[in-house]
Amino acid sequence: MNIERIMAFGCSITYGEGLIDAQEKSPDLKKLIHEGMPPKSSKYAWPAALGVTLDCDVKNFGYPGTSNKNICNIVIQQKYKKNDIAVILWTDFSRTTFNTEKNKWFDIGPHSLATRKKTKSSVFYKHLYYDFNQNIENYSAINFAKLYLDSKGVKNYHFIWTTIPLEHMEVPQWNSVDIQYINIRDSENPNYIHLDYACDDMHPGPQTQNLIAYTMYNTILND
Amino acid sequence: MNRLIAFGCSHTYGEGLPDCIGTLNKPGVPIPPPSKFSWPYLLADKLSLECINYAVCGASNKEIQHCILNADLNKNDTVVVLWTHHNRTCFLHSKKKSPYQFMPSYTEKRKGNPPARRNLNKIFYTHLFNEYNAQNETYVAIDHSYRYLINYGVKVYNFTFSRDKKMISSELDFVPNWFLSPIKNLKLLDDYGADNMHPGLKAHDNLASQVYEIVK
Repeated sequence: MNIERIMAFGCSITYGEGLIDAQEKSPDLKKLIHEGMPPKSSKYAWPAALGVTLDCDVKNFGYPGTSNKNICNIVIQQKYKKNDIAVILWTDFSRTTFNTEKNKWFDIGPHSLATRKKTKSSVFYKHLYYDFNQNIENYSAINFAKLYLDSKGVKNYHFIWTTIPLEHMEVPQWNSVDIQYINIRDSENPNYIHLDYACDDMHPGPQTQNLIAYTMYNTILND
Repeated sequence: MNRLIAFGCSHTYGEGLPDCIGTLNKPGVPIPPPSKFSWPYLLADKLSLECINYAVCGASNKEIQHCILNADLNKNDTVVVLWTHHNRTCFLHSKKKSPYQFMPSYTEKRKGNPPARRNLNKIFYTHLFNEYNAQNETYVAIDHSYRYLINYGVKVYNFTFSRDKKMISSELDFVPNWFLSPIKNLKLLDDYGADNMHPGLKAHDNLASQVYEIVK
Protein backbone atom coordinates (compact mmCIF):
# COMPACT_ATOMS: atom_id res chain seq x y z
CA MET A 1 0.00 0.00 0.00
CA ASN A 2 1.37 3.39 -0.98
CA ILE A 3 0.65 5.75 1.93
CA GLU A 4 1.93 9.30 1.65
CA ARG A 5 0.14 10.90 4.57
CA ILE A 6 -1.79 9.93 7.68
CA MET A 7 -4.72 12.15 8.57
CA ALA A 8 -5.15 11.38 12.26
CA PHE A 9 -8.32 12.27 14.17
CA GLY A 10 -9.37 11.91 17.77
CA CYS A 11 -9.46 13.50 21.19
CA SER A 12 -6.75 14.21 23.78
CA ILE A 13 -5.12 10.80 23.34
CA THR A 14 -4.57 11.55 19.66
CA TYR A 15 -3.35 15.05 20.48
CA GLY A 16 -0.94 13.58 23.01
CA GLU A 17 -2.22 15.55 25.97
CA GLY A 18 -0.04 15.21 29.04
CA LEU A 19 3.00 14.06 27.12
CA ILE A 20 6.17 15.99 27.86
CA ASP A 21 6.10 18.01 24.62
CA ALA A 22 2.31 18.66 24.59
CA GLN A 23 1.37 19.88 28.01
CA GLU A 24 -0.12 23.14 26.81
CA LYS A 25 -2.37 23.32 23.82
CA SER A 26 -2.17 26.16 21.32
CA PRO A 27 -4.79 28.87 21.96
CA ASP A 28 -5.53 28.85 18.20
CA LEU A 29 -5.94 25.09 18.00
CA LYS A 30 -9.64 25.15 17.02
CA LYS A 31 -9.02 27.65 14.23
CA LEU A 32 -5.93 25.81 12.97
CA ILE A 33 -7.76 22.47 12.91
CA HIS A 34 -10.68 24.04 11.09
CA GLU A 35 -8.33 25.49 8.48
CA GLY A 36 -6.68 22.10 7.99
CA MET A 37 -3.38 23.28 9.44
CA PRO A 38 -2.98 21.71 12.87
CA PRO A 39 0.25 22.71 14.66
CA LYS A 40 3.06 20.22 15.08
CA SER A 41 1.81 17.93 17.81
CA SER A 42 3.52 15.63 20.27
CA LYS A 43 6.17 13.40 18.75
CA TYR A 44 5.26 10.79 21.37
CA ALA A 45 1.54 10.56 20.48
CA TRP A 46 0.31 7.59 18.38
CA PRO A 47 -0.06 9.57 15.10
CA ALA A 48 3.65 10.47 15.09
CA ALA A 49 4.65 6.92 16.09
CA LEU A 50 2.45 5.46 13.33
CA GLY A 51 3.96 7.93 10.84
CA VAL A 52 7.46 6.70 11.72
CA THR A 53 6.40 3.06 11.35
CA LEU A 54 4.64 3.64 8.02
CA ASP A 55 7.31 6.12 6.90
CA CYS A 56 4.92 8.89 5.87
CA ASP A 57 3.83 12.41 6.78
CA VAL A 58 1.28 12.97 9.52
CA LYS A 59 -1.38 15.59 10.15
CA ASN A 60 -2.68 15.34 13.68
CA PHE A 61 -6.20 16.77 14.09
CA GLY A 62 -6.62 15.52 17.66
CA TYR A 63 -8.44 17.92 19.96
CA PRO A 64 -8.45 17.41 23.74
CA GLY A 65 -11.84 16.82 25.33
CA THR A 66 -13.81 16.66 22.12
CA SER A 67 -16.61 14.26 21.20
CA ASN A 68 -17.22 11.87 18.34
CA LYS A 69 -19.78 14.28 16.94
CA ASN A 70 -17.05 16.90 16.59
CA ILE A 71 -14.39 14.45 15.42
CA CYS A 72 -16.79 13.65 12.55
CA ASN A 73 -17.21 17.39 11.88
CA ILE A 74 -13.43 17.80 11.70
CA VAL A 75 -13.09 14.76 9.39
CA ILE A 76 -15.57 16.09 6.82
CA GLN A 77 -14.05 19.58 6.74
CA GLN A 78 -10.57 18.50 5.61
CA LYS A 79 -9.09 18.40 2.15
CA TYR A 80 -7.62 15.01 1.26
CA LYS A 81 -4.91 14.09 -1.22
CA LYS A 82 -4.43 10.95 -3.22
CA ASN A 83 -2.72 8.28 -1.09
CA ASP A 84 -3.88 9.82 2.19
CA ILE A 85 -5.27 7.43 4.77
CA ALA A 86 -7.52 8.49 7.62
CA VAL A 87 -6.93 6.90 11.01
CA ILE A 88 -9.48 7.77 13.65
CA LEU A 89 -9.29 6.99 17.34
CA TRP A 90 -12.90 7.57 18.33
CA THR A 91 -13.52 8.69 21.88
CA ASP A 92 -15.85 8.03 24.78
CA PHE A 93 -19.58 7.93 23.99
CA SER A 94 -20.57 10.06 27.00
CA ARG A 95 -19.41 13.29 25.33
CA THR A 96 -21.09 15.69 22.95
CA THR A 97 -20.33 19.00 21.24
CA PHE A 98 -22.30 22.10 20.36
CA ASN A 99 -20.88 24.14 17.49
CA THR A 100 -21.32 27.87 17.92
CA GLU A 101 -19.60 29.34 14.85
CA LYS A 102 -17.59 28.15 11.87
CA ASN A 103 -14.49 27.22 13.87
CA LYS A 104 -15.85 27.46 17.38
CA TRP A 105 -17.50 24.88 19.59
CA PHE A 106 -17.92 23.84 23.18
CA ASP A 107 -17.37 20.28 24.24
CA ILE A 108 -19.37 18.59 26.94
CA GLY A 109 -17.99 15.60 28.76
CA PRO A 110 -17.75 14.32 32.32
CA HIS A 111 -14.38 16.14 32.50
CA SER A 112 -16.06 19.51 31.75
CA LEU A 113 -18.19 19.30 34.92
CA ALA A 114 -15.14 20.44 36.85
CA THR A 115 -14.25 23.41 34.64
CA ARG A 116 -15.24 27.07 34.69
CA LYS A 117 -17.79 26.44 31.93
CA LYS A 118 -19.58 23.73 33.85
CA THR A 119 -23.13 25.15 33.64
CA LYS A 120 -23.87 23.76 30.18
CA SER A 121 -22.37 20.41 31.13
CA SER A 122 -24.39 20.25 34.35
CA VAL A 123 -27.59 21.04 32.44
CA PHE A 124 -26.80 18.44 29.81
CA TYR A 125 -26.00 15.62 32.22
CA LYS A 126 -28.82 16.45 34.61
CA HIS A 127 -31.63 16.87 32.08
CA LEU A 128 -30.68 15.71 28.61
CA TYR A 129 -28.28 12.80 28.89
CA TYR A 130 -29.66 9.43 27.76
CA ASP A 131 -27.45 6.40 27.03
CA PHE A 132 -29.58 5.46 24.04
CA ASN A 133 -29.32 8.95 22.55
CA GLN A 134 -25.56 9.01 23.04
CA ASN A 135 -25.24 5.58 21.44
CA ILE A 136 -27.17 6.62 18.33
CA GLU A 137 -25.46 10.03 18.08
CA ASN A 138 -22.01 8.44 18.31
CA TYR A 139 -22.63 5.59 15.88
CA SER A 140 -24.21 8.11 13.54
CA ALA A 141 -21.06 10.27 13.62
CA ILE A 142 -18.80 7.27 13.03
CA ASN A 143 -20.91 5.99 10.12
CA PHE A 144 -21.19 9.39 8.49
CA ALA A 145 -17.41 9.87 8.67
CA LYS A 146 -16.89 6.50 6.99
CA LEU A 147 -19.44 7.20 4.24
CA TYR A 148 -17.77 10.57 3.62
CA LEU A 149 -14.21 9.19 3.48
CA ASP A 150 -15.29 6.27 1.28
CA SER A 151 -16.90 8.70 -1.17
CA LYS A 152 -13.60 10.63 -1.32
CA GLY A 153 -11.67 7.42 -1.98
CA VAL A 154 -9.75 7.81 1.29
CA LYS A 155 -8.94 4.51 2.97
CA ASN A 156 -10.15 4.81 6.55
CA TYR A 157 -9.41 2.90 9.74
CA HIS A 158 -11.51 3.12 12.86
CA PHE A 159 -10.39 2.51 16.42
CA ILE A 160 -11.99 3.45 19.69
CA TRP A 161 -11.19 3.77 23.34
CA THR A 162 -14.11 4.05 25.73
CA THR A 163 -14.68 3.83 29.44
CA ILE A 164 -17.27 1.12 28.65
CA PRO A 165 -15.88 -1.89 26.74
CA LEU A 166 -17.13 -1.84 23.16
CA GLU A 167 -18.81 -5.25 23.43
CA HIS A 168 -21.15 -3.79 26.07
CA MET A 169 -22.51 -1.23 23.64
CA GLU A 170 -25.58 -1.94 21.55
CA VAL A 171 -24.69 -1.66 17.89
CA PRO A 172 -27.46 -0.22 15.67
CA GLN A 173 -28.46 -2.51 12.81
CA TRP A 174 -27.47 0.21 10.31
CA ASN A 175 -23.87 0.41 11.55
CA SER A 176 -21.43 -0.53 8.77
CA VAL A 177 -18.14 0.41 10.43
CA ASP A 178 -15.70 -2.15 11.71
CA ILE A 179 -14.38 -0.47 14.86
CA GLN A 180 -11.44 -1.94 16.70
CA TYR A 181 -11.41 -1.51 20.47
CA ILE A 182 -8.19 -0.12 21.92
CA ASN A 183 -8.23 -1.38 25.47
CA ILE A 184 -6.43 1.10 27.68
CA ARG A 185 -9.04 1.03 30.43
CA ASP A 186 -10.11 -2.46 31.35
CA SER A 187 -7.24 -4.46 32.84
CA GLU A 188 -9.50 -7.49 33.37
CA ASN A 189 -10.11 -7.93 29.66
CA PRO A 190 -7.70 -9.34 27.06
CA ASN A 191 -5.67 -7.06 24.83
CA TYR A 192 -5.19 -4.58 27.65
CA ILE A 193 -2.35 -2.40 26.46
CA HIS A 194 -1.92 0.27 29.10
CA LEU A 195 1.70 0.53 30.20
CA ASP A 196 2.30 4.03 31.50
CA TYR A 197 0.77 7.43 32.21
CA ALA A 198 1.75 10.80 30.77
CA CYS A 199 3.05 13.65 32.96
CA ASP A 200 -0.52 14.55 33.96
CA ASP A 201 -1.01 11.06 35.52
CA MET A 202 -4.21 10.74 33.51
CA HIS A 203 -3.53 10.27 29.80
CA PRO A 204 -1.53 7.46 28.17
CA GLY A 205 2.23 7.80 28.42
CA PRO A 206 4.73 7.38 25.57
CA GLN A 207 4.97 3.58 25.84
CA THR A 208 1.20 3.17 25.78
CA GLN A 209 1.00 5.57 22.83
CA ASN A 210 3.55 3.37 21.03
CA LEU A 211 1.45 0.30 21.72
CA ILE A 212 -1.64 2.04 20.36
CA ALA A 213 0.31 2.89 17.19
CA TYR A 214 1.60 -0.70 16.95
CA THR A 215 -1.97 -2.08 17.22
CA MET A 216 -3.08 0.28 14.47
CA TYR A 217 -0.04 -0.60 12.34
CA ASN A 218 -0.92 -4.30 12.48
CA THR A 219 -4.50 -3.60 11.42
CA ILE A 220 -3.40 -1.36 8.54
CA LEU A 221 -0.74 -3.82 7.43
CA ASN A 222 -3.18 -6.76 7.45
CA ASP A 223 -5.73 -4.85 5.39
CA MET B 1 -45.91 -3.25 -6.58
CA ASN B 2 -42.95 -0.92 -6.05
CA ARG B 3 -43.13 1.43 -3.11
CA LEU B 4 -42.89 5.13 -2.38
CA ILE B 5 -41.46 5.64 1.11
CA ALA B 6 -41.96 9.10 2.61
CA PHE B 7 -40.24 10.67 5.59
CA GLY B 8 -40.87 14.03 7.20
CA CYS B 9 -42.74 15.95 9.90
CA SER B 10 -46.42 16.90 10.25
CA HIS B 11 -46.28 18.52 6.79
CA THR B 12 -45.73 15.05 5.36
CA TYR B 13 -47.97 13.26 7.88
CA GLY B 14 -50.87 15.44 6.82
CA GLU B 15 -51.74 16.88 10.22
CA GLY B 16 -54.72 19.21 9.98
CA LEU B 17 -56.24 17.43 6.99
CA PRO B 18 -59.86 16.18 7.33
CA ASP B 19 -58.88 12.66 8.43
CA CYS B 20 -55.97 13.80 10.65
CA ILE B 21 -56.88 16.53 13.08
CA GLY B 22 -55.29 17.48 16.38
CA THR B 23 -52.50 15.02 17.03
CA LEU B 24 -49.91 17.34 18.53
CA ASN B 25 -51.78 19.31 21.13
CA LYS B 26 -54.10 16.75 22.64
CA PRO B 27 -52.07 14.35 24.79
CA GLY B 28 -54.08 11.22 25.48
CA VAL B 29 -56.12 11.49 22.29
CA PRO B 30 -55.36 8.55 19.96
CA ILE B 31 -53.20 9.64 17.07
CA PRO B 32 -54.80 8.90 13.70
CA PRO B 33 -52.64 7.29 10.98
CA PRO B 34 -51.04 9.56 8.35
CA SER B 35 -53.66 11.29 6.22
CA LYS B 36 -54.71 9.65 2.98
CA PHE B 37 -54.88 13.22 1.61
CA SER B 38 -51.22 13.93 2.44
CA TRP B 39 -48.85 14.66 -0.44
CA PRO B 40 -47.05 11.26 -0.29
CA TYR B 41 -50.32 9.37 -0.94
CA LEU B 42 -51.28 11.75 -3.74
CA LEU B 43 -47.81 11.39 -5.26
CA ALA B 44 -47.83 7.60 -4.97
CA ASP B 45 -51.18 7.61 -6.77
CA LYS B 46 -49.72 9.65 -9.64
CA LEU B 47 -46.72 7.30 -9.84
CA SER B 48 -48.79 4.11 -9.40
CA LEU B 49 -46.73 3.11 -6.38
CA GLU B 50 -47.72 1.74 -2.99
CA CYS B 51 -47.31 4.47 -0.37
CA ILE B 52 -45.67 4.04 3.01
CA ASN B 53 -45.71 7.25 5.00
CA TYR B 54 -43.17 7.16 7.85
CA ALA B 55 -43.62 10.85 8.75
CA VAL B 56 -43.84 11.79 12.44
CA CYS B 57 -45.71 14.82 13.77
CA GLY B 58 -43.36 17.19 15.59
CA ALA B 59 -40.30 15.45 14.16
CA SER B 60 -36.96 17.19 13.94
CA ASN B 61 -34.43 16.45 11.23
CA LYS B 62 -32.57 14.29 13.75
CA GLU B 63 -35.72 12.22 14.29
CA ILE B 64 -36.33 12.00 10.53
CA GLN B 65 -32.76 10.74 10.12
CA HIS B 66 -33.38 8.16 12.87
CA CYS B 67 -36.54 6.98 11.05
CA ILE B 68 -34.63 6.66 7.76
CA LEU B 69 -31.76 4.67 9.26
CA ASN B 70 -34.18 2.25 10.91
CA ALA B 71 -36.69 1.88 8.09
CA ASP B 72 -37.27 -1.46 6.43
CA LEU B 73 -36.34 -0.67 2.82
CA ASN B 74 -36.16 -2.58 -0.47
CA LYS B 75 -33.70 -1.79 -3.23
CA ASN B 76 -36.48 -0.86 -5.69
CA ASP B 77 -38.09 1.64 -3.31
CA THR B 78 -38.29 5.34 -4.12
CA VAL B 79 -37.60 7.48 -1.04
CA VAL B 80 -38.89 11.04 -0.70
CA VAL B 81 -37.94 13.19 2.28
CA LEU B 82 -39.41 16.57 3.20
CA TRP B 83 -36.93 17.92 5.75
CA THR B 84 -38.26 20.17 8.48
CA HIS B 85 -37.31 23.30 10.47
CA HIS B 86 -33.70 23.14 11.61
CA ASN B 87 -34.44 24.73 14.99
CA ARG B 88 -35.95 21.49 16.25
CA THR B 89 -34.18 18.53 17.78
CA CYS B 90 -34.96 15.40 19.77
CA PHE B 91 -33.38 13.24 22.44
CA LEU B 92 -33.76 9.51 22.02
CA HIS B 93 -34.31 8.22 25.53
CA SER B 94 -35.54 4.71 24.81
CA LYS B 95 -35.44 2.18 22.01
CA LYS B 96 -39.14 1.41 22.33
CA LYS B 97 -40.61 4.84 23.04
CA SER B 98 -40.93 7.98 20.92
CA PRO B 99 -38.10 10.47 21.49
CA TYR B 100 -38.52 13.66 23.49
CA GLN B 101 -39.18 16.34 20.90
CA PHE B 102 -37.85 19.89 21.09
CA MET B 103 -39.19 22.88 19.18
CA PRO B 104 -39.42 26.57 20.12
CA SER B 105 -43.23 26.50 20.44
CA TYR B 106 -42.95 23.78 23.10
CA THR B 107 -41.43 26.35 25.47
CA GLU B 108 -44.73 28.27 25.54
CA LYS B 109 -47.30 28.00 28.30
CA ARG B 110 -50.47 26.99 26.52
CA LYS B 111 -53.19 24.38 26.49
CA GLY B 112 -51.99 21.01 25.29
CA ASN B 113 -48.35 21.63 26.17
CA PRO B 114 -47.64 19.58 29.32
CA PRO B 115 -45.45 21.30 31.98
CA ALA B 116 -42.81 18.55 31.89
CA ARG B 117 -42.31 18.97 28.14
CA ARG B 118 -42.38 22.76 28.43
CA ASN B 119 -39.75 22.78 31.19
CA LEU B 120 -37.42 20.41 29.36
CA ASN B 121 -37.75 22.49 26.18
CA LYS B 122 -37.06 25.68 28.14
CA ILE B 123 -33.90 24.16 29.59
CA PHE B 124 -32.65 23.13 26.17
CA TYR B 125 -33.43 26.40 24.38
CA THR B 126 -32.09 28.54 27.25
CA HIS B 127 -28.80 26.75 27.86
CA LEU B 128 -27.77 24.72 24.84
CA PHE B 129 -29.53 25.78 21.65
CA ASN B 130 -27.79 27.96 19.09
CA GLU B 131 -28.61 28.56 15.42
CA TYR B 132 -25.26 27.51 14.01
CA ASN B 133 -25.31 24.15 15.77
CA ALA B 134 -28.91 23.55 14.76
CA GLN B 135 -28.10 24.20 11.10
CA ASN B 136 -25.01 22.02 11.26
CA GLU B 137 -27.04 19.15 12.74
CA THR B 138 -29.54 19.53 9.92
CA TYR B 139 -26.88 19.38 7.21
CA VAL B 140 -25.34 16.30 8.82
CA ALA B 141 -28.74 14.60 9.20
CA ILE B 142 -29.62 15.21 5.54
CA ASP B 143 -26.25 14.27 4.11
CA HIS B 144 -25.77 11.18 6.29
CA SER B 145 -29.25 9.94 5.35
CA TYR B 146 -28.63 10.63 1.66
CA ARG B 147 -25.29 8.80 1.57
CA TYR B 148 -26.79 5.90 3.56
CA LEU B 149 -29.74 5.56 1.19
CA ILE B 150 -27.63 5.86 -1.96
CA ASN B 151 -25.30 3.18 -0.58
CA TYR B 152 -28.35 1.04 0.13
CA GLY B 153 -29.26 1.33 -3.53
CA VAL B 154 -32.60 3.17 -3.41
CA LYS B 155 -33.63 6.28 -5.35
CA VAL B 156 -33.69 9.32 -3.05
CA TYR B 157 -35.28 12.76 -3.44
CA ASN B 158 -34.74 15.43 -0.77
CA PHE B 159 -36.89 18.50 -0.29
CA THR B 160 -37.35 21.45 2.01
CA PHE B 161 -40.39 23.73 2.19
CA SER B 162 -41.14 27.42 2.53
CA ARG B 163 -44.17 29.67 2.60
CA ASP B 164 -43.36 33.29 1.82
CA LYS B 165 -46.05 35.14 3.68
CA LYS B 166 -45.82 33.34 7.01
CA MET B 167 -42.05 32.97 7.45
CA ILE B 168 -42.50 29.21 7.61
CA SER B 169 -39.44 27.63 6.11
CA SER B 170 -37.04 24.72 6.29
CA GLU B 171 -35.03 25.99 3.33
CA LEU B 172 -31.24 25.75 3.72
CA ASP B 173 -29.28 29.00 3.91
CA PHE B 174 -26.07 27.78 2.31
CA VAL B 175 -24.42 24.55 1.24
CA PRO B 176 -21.27 23.42 3.08
CA ASN B 177 -18.48 22.21 0.79
CA TRP B 178 -18.79 18.63 2.10
CA PHE B 179 -22.53 18.45 1.44
CA LEU B 180 -23.37 15.97 -1.32
CA SER B 181 -27.13 15.64 -1.23
CA PRO B 182 -29.16 17.29 -4.00
CA ILE B 183 -32.08 19.12 -2.37
CA LYS B 184 -34.88 21.21 -3.78
CA ASN B 185 -37.15 23.67 -2.03
CA LEU B 186 -40.93 23.31 -2.43
CA LYS B 187 -43.22 26.33 -2.15
CA LEU B 188 -46.19 25.85 0.17
CA LEU B 189 -49.49 27.31 -1.01
CA ASP B 190 -51.27 29.73 1.29
CA ASP B 191 -53.89 27.09 2.05
CA TYR B 192 -54.47 25.66 5.51
CA GLY B 193 -55.96 22.62 7.17
CA ALA B 194 -58.56 22.55 9.94
CA ASP B 195 -55.96 23.64 12.52
CA ASN B 196 -55.31 26.82 10.50
CA MET B 197 -51.61 26.09 10.69
CA HIS B 198 -50.61 23.08 8.61
CA PRO B 199 -51.01 22.79 4.81
CA GLY B 200 -54.57 22.15 3.61
CA LEU B 201 -55.93 19.89 0.87
CA LYS B 202 -54.93 22.23 -1.98
CA ALA B 203 -51.46 22.76 -0.55
CA HIS B 204 -50.87 19.00 -0.29
CA ASP B 205 -52.13 18.47 -3.82
CA ASN B 206 -49.76 21.18 -5.01
CA LEU B 207 -46.82 19.65 -3.08
CA ALA B 208 -47.53 16.29 -4.71
CA SER B 209 -47.56 17.93 -8.16
CA GLN B 210 -44.25 19.74 -7.51
CA VAL B 211 -42.57 16.52 -6.37
CA TYR B 212 -44.13 14.56 -9.25
CA GLU B 213 -42.49 16.88 -11.81
CA ILE B 214 -39.10 15.96 -10.32
CA VAL B 215 -39.61 12.27 -9.57
CA LYS B 216 -41.58 11.17 -12.70
